[in-house]
Amino acid sequence: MSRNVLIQNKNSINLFDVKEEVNIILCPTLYSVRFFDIPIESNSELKLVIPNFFEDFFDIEGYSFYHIKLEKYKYMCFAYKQDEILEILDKINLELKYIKKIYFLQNEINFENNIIYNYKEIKYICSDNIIVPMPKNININSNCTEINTEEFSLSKYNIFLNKSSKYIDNTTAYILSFIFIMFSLFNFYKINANGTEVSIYEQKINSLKQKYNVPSSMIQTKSIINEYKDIENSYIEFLNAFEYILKYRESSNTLLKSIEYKNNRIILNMNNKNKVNIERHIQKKYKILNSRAFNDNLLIEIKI
Amino acid sequence: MNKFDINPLFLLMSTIVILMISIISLNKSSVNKNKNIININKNIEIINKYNSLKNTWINAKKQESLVNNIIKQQKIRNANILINKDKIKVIINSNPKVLHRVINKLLNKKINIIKLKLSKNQLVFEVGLL
Repeated sequence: MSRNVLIQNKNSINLFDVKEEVNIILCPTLYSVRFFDIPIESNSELKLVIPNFFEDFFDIEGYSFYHIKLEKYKYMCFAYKQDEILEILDKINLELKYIKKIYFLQNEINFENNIIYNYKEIKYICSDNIIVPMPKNININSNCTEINTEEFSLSKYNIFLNKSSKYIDNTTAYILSFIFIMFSLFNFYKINANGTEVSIYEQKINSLKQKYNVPSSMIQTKSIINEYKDIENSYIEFLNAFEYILKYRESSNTLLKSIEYKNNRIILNMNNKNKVNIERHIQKKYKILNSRAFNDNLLIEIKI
Repeated sequence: MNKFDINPLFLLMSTIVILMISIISLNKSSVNKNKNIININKNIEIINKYNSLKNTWINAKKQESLVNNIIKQQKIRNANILINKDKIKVIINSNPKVLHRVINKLLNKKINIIKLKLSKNQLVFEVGLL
């Protein structure tokens, strides 16, 4: 069972050196409590409205609020300063991680009206069902009931301190964290999906390579393609040259005795009828490497 | 508020860092994926081209069948066909009309002719087989 520690104010505390879980009970010096009739049931709306009710009593700047529903439209509302509590916890050297829960004294002891209670020389009195600290300068003749923290049977009403930020509360931080984690998970899923997509493409490439017996290196494949293209180009060049020569033969009615093709060269054996015209025609498109005429033969070697 | 609680602000900042890392990683991964896919598509194009060129010019059986088809179509009986490992040599002795038809057919097919000699009554050509 965790120890209960009653916190009253900055001056009435001892340094805390135990490293165990404790329940903190806040004394009325650290909070303000009021009963309000509010015709609202929604918790979120109540959270918005309650500060306005306290505004009639004090400046609510820096206060946090907590409410307990007593009956329909009747609430017990608490206002407390987180910073003040945190400052005290810091002073007594009590880390937040050792705090199990934080309670209000109001809810943790069955007070009777007009009876004075004492805890470490601070007196409290219950007036109109609200426990309030008594001023120090009042002399009390009657007997006081000592508050024993170990006798508390703690209620379900407790608060959480948000040490993190003044601008964002714990719930919002948790919700945002959850959303961000969800986004991150989605992003990591997409990263994984991208990797899978690429590996599917790579598998497709590999199966194509195997199917068509393509060399493993793309550089080698490209060089072979260039080799094949050279074959194709020389085929096209050969066709063009052949067509060019045959067309001339038809148009000029020159007798083509033989035609020979090898090593990208064409050797023509033509009737030596009109050497100049033949050569002129060929030179329009191709380079003549050699041209010889003997008897009625004209031998022309062309580079294509 | 017990020792297992995590400071919500710390949690929030951590998730923001994780989110940033995931966004940057996703961005990098998407850029890489696009680059890879472009590259892969280029490679697929190269492979298809390789296959098409290989089938057209290097497929020995195809080249041989093309030559045989031309000879059969022209009903040439005295064609001399010599098939080596790296080439097919064909010698056809016939009249100029037939040879002219053979030449026409030969030039209209994608045949890797490495040598050709056409004279009045004879056509000799060699088809390269890589």
